[in-house]
Parts: sequence; C-alpha cells; structure tokens
Amino acid sequence: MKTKEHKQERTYSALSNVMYMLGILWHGSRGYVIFSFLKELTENVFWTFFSVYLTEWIYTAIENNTPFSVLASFVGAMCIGHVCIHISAALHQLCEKQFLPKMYQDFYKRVIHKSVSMEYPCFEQPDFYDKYTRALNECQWRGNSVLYGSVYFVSNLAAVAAAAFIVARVDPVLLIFIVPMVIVSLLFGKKRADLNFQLDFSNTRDGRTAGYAKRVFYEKKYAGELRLFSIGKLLLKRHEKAYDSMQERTKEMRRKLVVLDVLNWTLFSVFSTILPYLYIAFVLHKGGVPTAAYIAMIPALTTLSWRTDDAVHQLVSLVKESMFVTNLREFLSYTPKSESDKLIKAGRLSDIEITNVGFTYAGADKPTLHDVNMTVRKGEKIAIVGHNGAGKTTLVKLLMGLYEATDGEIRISGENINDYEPKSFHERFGTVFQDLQIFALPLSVNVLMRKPGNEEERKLVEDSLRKAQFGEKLDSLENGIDTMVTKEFDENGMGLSGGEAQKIAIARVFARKPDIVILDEPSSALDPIAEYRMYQNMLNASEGETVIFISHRLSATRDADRIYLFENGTIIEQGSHDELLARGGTYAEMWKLQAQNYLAEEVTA
Amino acid sequence: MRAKNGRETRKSGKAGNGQAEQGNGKTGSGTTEQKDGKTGSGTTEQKNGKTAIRKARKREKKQEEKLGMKRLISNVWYVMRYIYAHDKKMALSYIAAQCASAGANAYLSTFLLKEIIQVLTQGADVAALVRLLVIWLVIYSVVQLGIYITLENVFYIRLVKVSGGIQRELMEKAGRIDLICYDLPEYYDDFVVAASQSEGMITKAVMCIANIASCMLAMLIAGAMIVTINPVVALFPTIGFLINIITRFIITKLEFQYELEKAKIGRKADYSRRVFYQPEYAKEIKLSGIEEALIAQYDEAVAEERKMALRYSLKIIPPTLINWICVYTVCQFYAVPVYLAYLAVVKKKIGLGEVASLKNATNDIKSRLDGVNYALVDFQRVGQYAEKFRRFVDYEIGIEGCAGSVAVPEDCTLELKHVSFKYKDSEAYVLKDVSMTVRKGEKLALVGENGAGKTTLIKLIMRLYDVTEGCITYGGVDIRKLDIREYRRKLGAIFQDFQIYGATLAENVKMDVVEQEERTDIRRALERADFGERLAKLENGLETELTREFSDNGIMLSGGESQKAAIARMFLRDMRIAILDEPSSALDPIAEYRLNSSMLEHASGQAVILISHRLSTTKDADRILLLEHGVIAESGTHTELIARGGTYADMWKVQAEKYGKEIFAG
Repeated sequence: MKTKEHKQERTYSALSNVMYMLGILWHGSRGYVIFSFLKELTENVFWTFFSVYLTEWIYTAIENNTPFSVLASFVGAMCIGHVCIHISAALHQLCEKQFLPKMYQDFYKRVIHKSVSMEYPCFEQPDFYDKYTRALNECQWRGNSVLYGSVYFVSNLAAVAAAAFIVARVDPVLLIFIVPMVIVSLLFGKKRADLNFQLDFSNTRDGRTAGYAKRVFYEKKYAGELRLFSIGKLLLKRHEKAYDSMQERTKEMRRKLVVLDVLNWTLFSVFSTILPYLYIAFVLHKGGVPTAAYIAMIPALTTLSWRTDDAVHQLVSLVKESMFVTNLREFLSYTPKSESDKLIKAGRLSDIEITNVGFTYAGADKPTLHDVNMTVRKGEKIAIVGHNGAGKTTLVKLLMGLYEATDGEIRISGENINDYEPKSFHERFGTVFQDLQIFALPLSVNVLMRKPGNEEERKLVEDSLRKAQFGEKLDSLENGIDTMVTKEFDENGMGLSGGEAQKIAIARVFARKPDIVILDEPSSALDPIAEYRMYQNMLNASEGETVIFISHRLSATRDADRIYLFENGTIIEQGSHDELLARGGTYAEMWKLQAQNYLAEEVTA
Repeated sequence: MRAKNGRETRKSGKAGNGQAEQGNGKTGSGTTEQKDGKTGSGTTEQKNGKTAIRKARKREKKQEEKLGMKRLISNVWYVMRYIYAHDKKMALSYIAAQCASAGANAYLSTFLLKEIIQVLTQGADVAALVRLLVIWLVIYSVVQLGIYITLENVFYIRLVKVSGGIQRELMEKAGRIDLICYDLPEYYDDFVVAASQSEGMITKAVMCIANIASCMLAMLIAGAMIVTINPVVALFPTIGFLINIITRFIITKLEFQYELEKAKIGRKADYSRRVFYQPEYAKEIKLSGIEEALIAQYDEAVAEERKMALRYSLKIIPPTLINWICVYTVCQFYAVPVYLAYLAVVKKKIGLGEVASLKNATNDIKSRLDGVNYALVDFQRVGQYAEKFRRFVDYEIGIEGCAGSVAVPEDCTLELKHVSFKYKDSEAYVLKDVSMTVRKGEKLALVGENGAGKTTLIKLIMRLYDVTEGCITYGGVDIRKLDIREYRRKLGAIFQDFQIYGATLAENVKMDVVEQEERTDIRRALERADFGERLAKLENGLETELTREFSDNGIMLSGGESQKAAIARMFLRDMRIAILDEPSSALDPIAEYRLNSSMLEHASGQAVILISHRLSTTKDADRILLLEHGVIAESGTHTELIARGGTYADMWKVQAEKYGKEIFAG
C-alpha cells in the first residue's frame, strides 16, 4: 500500500489498463478471448430477445387469438435457438478449463522471465520485491477478473441496448424511466465502492497485525516456542485489539452504508416500479393501445433496470480492478540494464583483480566496503575471514556481479566484470551459500540445475554426488538420481537433513566445473567430522580452480594460500596463516582465542 | 441465467452488493493464505522411506473416502451450531434478512403483481392501481428498506467480531495441540490448514444456508400463487426442480472431483511459484539458471492439468446440457408458455392477466432455482471443508491441557529413566533407552552428529513430546503428573531454530506482555547476552519494533544479534534448568567466547544443558554425553572421554587437529 502511495510516477487510465491486460491475455490464447466475448455477447442478446421479446409476442398472440399451432411452433423455434446457446455455453466451459491454464502459463512465464533478467539488488529492495511478489500472485487471477469484468460489462451493455430496443418499439416513453436509474446506480455504486476501499485501506495495518498473529500460531517453526513461552498471549492480545478496531471501523462505514442503501433502493424502486406502472396504467386507461404489449413490458422493465444496474456495478468493479493492473504493468515494463547488447560473453575466467573497491548500500550513510585491493591468480586458494558484518559476503556478491561496486573496479581475466553478459558470467562460478536452497525437483536437476540431456550428463551428476560424499545415500535410493527431492508434492520424495542438503549443494559445484569456486560459510550446519571431510574434498577436487572460502572459523581456512582478514569493511591483514601468526596482529589474536580450548587440551595430553 | 455465474439472481435487491462483498473476501484471504502457506518444508528430516510410502497410501485413501450426503449435511449443521454458539444473533440476522427480503419480494412479484396485472388488463383503474402501489410501497419499505438493510448491516458488523473471536479460539487451540501433530503431515494438513482457513468458511456457511432457505421460501410462495390459479402449471417447475436436483448432484460431484485433482496437480505449479516468490531463493536462482528446470516442471503441471480437465469436461458436459435443456428450455420456456397459451387460446379458461401472472411466477421460481444451485455448490464445499474443521475442533488437547495432580517439587533433579521415543507409525526409534540425571547447578553437555537425536531429547525434557517408553522425573515425580505450565516455568529452552517475533525488543525477550517495572531486568538480561552495545545504538531502545511484520521501520536483526536476543530470554527467566540448543552457531568466535563466559558467570545456581557440535564450547561441562543414533554412546568429563579413546576422542581430534598442530609447530 505504501509503495502505491508515492511511487506512482506513471498513472494509466482505466481503459488503457484494461486494454493492456487484454493484450496480455490475447497473447496467451487468442481463441479463448474471442470466444469468451462472442459467447457472452450472443448469449446475453439472445436471452434478452428470448425473455423479453418472446413474452411480448406470446401475450400479443394470445390477445389476437393466434392459432395454437402457430404459437407452439414459434415458441419451439425460439427454444431450439436457446438449446444452441446452451451448447455454446457448454463448449465454453470446456474451453475455460482448457485455455485458462494456458493463459496463466503464458502470463506467469512473462513475469518469471522478467524477474530473472532483473539485477539482484532489486530483490533486496522492499519496493521492488513487493511489486514482484504481487505480480507473481496476480498473474494467476488478475487476468481472469479483468477478462470477465470486461466480457460481462460489454455483453450486459449489449443486452441493455437490445432490451431498450424492444421496449422502445412498444413505447419509447418507457425508456425515460431508465435514465434516472442509470444516474442513481452510477452515483451510489461509486460511493459504495469508495466506502469499501476506504475501509480496506484503513484496515490494512490491523489486517497485517492479525494476519501475522494468526500465522505464528499455525506455522510449524513457531510451534515449539509458542508452547514454551507466553508469546502467544501477547499475540492474541494484539489480534484482539486489531479486530476491535477493525470492527469499530466497519461499524462506522456500515452506518454510512445504511443511509446510502435506503436512499438508493428508494429511488430505484420509484423509478423502476412505481412510475412505470403508473405510466402504463395511464396509457392503458386512455385506451387505443394493445394491452398485451404493455403487460409484457412489466417484466421487460424489471429486466432492463436490473441489467442496467448490473452493468454499472460491473463498470465500477472493472475500473477498480484495472487500478490493480498498474502494478503488473509497472513490473513488466522495468527495463533491466543487462539487456543491452554491448556485453561480452564470458569465457574461461582467470585472474581476479580488485582495485580500490568500495560499496555503499543504497540509502546507507556508511560504506559497507571501502578501499579493498586484492589480486587472486588462477588456481589460488584464498580465504576471507573476519567477524560477522565485516563485509565478507558483500565482497563476494560484488565479485559475482550481484552488486555493482560503487567505487573502484573489479577485473576478471582483464575485463571489467560489468562488461560481461551476466548469464554466461554466472555460469563460470560455483557457489555454496550458507543459506543454500534445495528444490523440489529430481535429484539430477538439483545437481545439474537443468535436466540432464544425455547419458554423459547423468554420469557427471552421479560422479559429482559421489565426490561430494553423497555416494552412500545415493546407493540406497531406489530411483538413483531420478529420485524426487523433498516431500513437497511427492509423498515418496526424499527428505534431506541439513548435512545432506549441503552435500548436494557441493555436488552442484562439481557438476558445474566452474573456474571460480566460492564457499560462503558453507560448513556451519555440519558437524566437525563432516566439515573436515568437506573441506578436504573441496580442495582435492578443485585442483587448478580458484577457490575462495569465507569463514569465521579459522581452523577451516588455515590451509589457504592466502588469508585476508576483514574488519569494518576493509582488509586489515593479509598473508599465509604462518605469516599472519608471526605478525602477531588481530588474526593471531583471534586464532589464539579460538584455539584456546583445544590448545590447553593438547598441552595436558 | 445459469447457476455458474449467478448473474441473474434478480429482484431481491442485493445481487450486486452481496456478490461484490463475497468477491472481495475471497480474493483477499486467498492471497494472504497463499503467502502464509507452507514455507519451510524444503529440508525435513524425515528419512524413513517405508513409513513415507505407507503414509502416502493412507492419505490417498483418505482423499478417496467420499463424504456421503448425510455427513455433508451433518458437517454444515456442525459449523452452523459452532457459529451460533459464538454469536447467536449473527447468523440469525443474516438468515432472517435474506428470508424476509426473499419472502416479501416473492409476495410482491407474484400475488401483488397478479392484482396489478388484473387491474391493468381490466380497464386500468388508476385509483385501484394507486391503492395497490401503496401496499407495494409499504411492504417494500418495511421489509426491504427497513428490515433487510438493517439486519444485513448488523450481520456484517458482527461478522468482523465473530470471525476475530473464532480465529482466536482456533489459534489458541492450535497453540495447545500436541506438538507432535505439527510433525505428522496427516495431522498438520488436516488440522492446522483447516483451522487457518476457517473465516472464509464461516461466511460461506452462513450465506449458503441463508440463500437456500430464502430461495426455498420464495419458491414456495410463488408455487402457492400458481396453485391458486391453476395447479397443473405448478407441475412444470416441480418436474424441473426434480430433474435439477438429480443432475445437479451428479455435476457437483464431478466438479468436486475435478477440483480435487486440480488441487493435487496444482501443488506442482504452486511450488514453482513459491520458489520464485521467496527472497531466500533469489540468489540461488539468479546464479544457477535453474529457472528453466522449474518452468519445465510448471509446464508439465499445466499440460497435465489440461489433460485432466479435458477428461472431466467431457464427463461434465452431458449432464450439464441435460440439466440446462430439460430444466430451462423444456420445462421453463417451452412447456409453461405453450401450456398457458393452450389454456388461454384453445380452452379459453384463463385470460391474458392470468397468463402474465403465471409466467412471471414461473420466471421467479426459475431465478430462485439458480440461487439454490449456486448455494448448493458452496454447501458442498463447506461440508467437505468442515470435515477437517470438525476433527480439529473435536481434537482433545493432550499434553498442553495437563493440569497436574502433584505440585511441582522444589527439588530440581531431572532424571531420564530408560527413555525411548519414536514417531507414531514409524518403526525407527529416534531415541532408545536413554538414561541420565541432571542435578542442581550441574553443567551438562550433549554432543553428537546431526540427526543423532539431541533436539528430540530436549523436546522430551520440555515435554513437547511424550516419551514412548520409560519416564522422565522432576524432583522424583513423573513429569506427566505435573502441571505443564508450572513445570515448564522451571525450565527454559532456547532452540536452534528460535524465532524473533514482530513485537518490541522487550517483548521479544520477555516473550509475554511487558510491565513497566520489568524493563530494568530486561535491559540487564540483554546486557548479559552481549546485546548491550547494539541496544545502546537503538533509537527506541527496548521499545524498538523488531521485524518488518507490522511496521516498515521495524529493525531486522542479523543472525548473531537475533541469537543474542534469544539468549537474553534465558537470563531473564528465573529457572532451575536452562537448556541451550546450539546457542552460538551464528556467532563469530569472539562473540561466542564472551557469551559462554557470561553464561557460566550468571548461571551459577542453575543446571545448564548445552547442545553443540563444536566441542570447544562444551569441553568445560561437568559431564558430556555423546549421542549416537539415538543412544548415549559415551558419557563422562572431557578428560575421561579423551582417555577412553572412543568416538568423542576422534571427534575432538578432528576439530583440534588444526589448532593442535600449531602448538607443536610453535
């Protein structure tokens, strides 16, 4: 909500938004869009004739004593038309089930492809992220509501026109009663929508509070603490307070609504019933007109008035709906920088040169990194150590082009990394993050990150898993590398422990055959033995590749060719483990502290 | 025109309004729920393949077990009673509003309209018409404007309060259900998901009952009017109604099966959406290019859905067409007017006025029939859904409701006697024959590889689970005999996956409502947990809102800071036994060191159970227990265990090696 408030640089008209959305759907399934309009239009227009005109015809026929056979066959003929309409509606039902998913699919892919092409920092901006998640969510149903909104509105309008035509044939004066009704509907429809919107808007915050409290009670991760502490009490209190104020607001809004409704329906009934009846009585009383036609106009006017009211409501909700399209539209019209075609495709990467690099997060007043200089030759094993928050992870993100340095430059293989085409550049890296993710996809895809295309690739997956110490588990799997990972939607899927997940992440690196391997504290979820094995493996397997370790556990990184110690966003010491110890600086201090417990032991032993 | 979109529910003066509201509710809650939905099931530790398969079979069976009509009705009845118990007026006011409106409108559009048409066809006496219109206006104003609008608004106002109240009741229940239910998917899905979606169901239940009742009433009135003129005419709508019931039942059943299968397939598509949705995946997706594989999976799901949809469509179309053609075309639009014309033209039994009145009445019945059909779909949904809801509400609270028969003893010795634990339906024991004693002031360490059962053991001690075999005693009394709240107050545990809540910092430490005078204690606890420096930097100090859940200015703590805040919870509580599960994993070595010393310094009178896989953290413990595959494999002091040369000694060697080498070298 907040973002919508001040970030609306461009405003689109409701019509343009609706057209935009229809354009997207059109791309997804042209036939379905056309069919939806056609079906609804013919159905509504036919229905108007079928109910209004046919009634008038029958009454007139009775009044004129038309032979029964003529009457029965005419009604029969109309009924055959009605059956045709049913058939088209049934076909439409079938198409709906067939083509809606297809339309969504097309739509969804658009959003995904857009998101994949966006620069990484976007994902860390709440504004963008909010837009993105909303777009993702909306592409599942927003299209449908706009399509049906416009289909219903258009066809209703056509039905109103048809009904008006039939009524006008009998007596054009009757149409006069419709005009004030349209005005009443529009006026009150708009007012009602405004009230609803205001209520929703002022309830946003309380809704969020209540939703959060609810989530805590139902989500698994909170379940333990909820039972051990009294935090639940606190949240229930907040929930109650939120609901109390929502109810207060609802009460207030409903009070206004009651007045509105009473006025609305009074006016509506006067124009749709009282006045027309009096008019019809007046005309019939005067005589000289066919009674049957006028009697038939009673239900016709009801139909006409409700149709009009519906059309107005549909218009109001369509306009409201179209407002929400703005978000999607803005999202899809982001232009990512990386689409420019001047970029170089990355080949094999060799030496890394970091010169005077600094980085400040957008909106931060202090740089996270400053004056970082570093040269890494091909094949070197480098460790980056330092306290939490010293800037280690940020540096790695800069190196991989996830962020762009605000000062200085990073060159790999002699080229500024900003000049590389991101996709091919990222392919040259193998990374294991602390917060690594496992996907609910077959094991092979989880390792290769795409479907293995041939036997050779399958072999590669298997080898990589074995190298990553996953062999034992792999042998126990009935379906081998085709096993579905996680129980997300396959009950027979393989659940993974933290350690196993980590091994898969490491296998990804092996399968990728990258030029540069980056390990961002990958071992924190591992127990000591597993950690030790993992590092050994990683080092053995990445012979010839550049490896960059990040860790705050110094025991893990001591074998590195060179260690960089970060503090407050810059390198304060560098050198091999022995050099740094000999120097007796911060590193030596940290080492001592960490080794302390173990050292004492060895002395006594 | 058809129940499908219900556009044609005319005349009762609420179509647009009511529907719009329903629509809003639906989209609103839909999106949030999706967002809330399962987030962290990526890597669960369920590894027993066999049980998984069995469970899967069981679930499939459960889905297959179709609910009979009787059960559906009883379910809806259950929900209505539940709502009624919460607020007697809410549901009644809505049902009354709908019935009053439908009844009055039915009367106006049949009986009174008949009079009006009579006047119009027989010379159109204006005075008589005015008299009728005055009656019309009086009934309309009293019922539609007075009763209906008032009651409907009363309903919407009460609905907010009631759904809030029901939500809280269910939340409280969810918070007291045995934790084990959260670990077993068959419970979790049924209970928790069912309860969390209760609001929408409540509204739906009230609305569909009100609609069915009011439409039936209106049909009866219209039918009565028809019977007064010519009973035979009533035959057509009645036949239509019967055909409708039969075919509609078949259609609804098929539609329901379709929805079920669609939901099943939809899980795949939903998953891929969720992955793209969550920030923690963004980095991985960006770097790995896995999006193609995810999209391919999504495509597969869509293709599968379309194939399935085609199969169902072909099954659904014939009964649908039969329904439409028989009920609407034949009974309604052909038979009625032709028969009326026959009576008027051939038999000369009725005049134009009667024809028009009858035709209007049958039209009325038809639109009400649409309303019933529409409501029946919801009725079935509510009935299906209520099955889970019912099981949740009727579920008996186990552990959390334990009031205890014995007062919690002063002596705080905790003893585990031959404790074993396994999950229901699983053959593999997570813990097997574990015995141990924790005495006052003792510092105990639990070490072992991931998955050895350390966390489960803590959960048993806290009585989040009950032991399968053996028993746990506190001060010599079986903990199952103690008041659960009192007992837990004596213990304090911080789990590895502790959570930070969308509340103030003080509340996050106290984990309860904070009173003014407690603030000093909270501040001290935070300082002891090494959070003092950060606290000093916070503009709003203890009142700082954490997380961005409520306030966009909320502070997001880093992993290490969160851990410190969580540990401060321990310092605040006056407990006998403190349990810390991997308390320092997110901390760097210096922070860890400081925290450890602080903990030892301030926890002098308390027993401490420390879980860690970093052996340097646990080395100074009075006793170290090594868990291996659910069994205590070794126990003793660090020196004893090293001397023994077992697994612990091996682990120690691996960890110490890197540091150890140094000492010999230097």
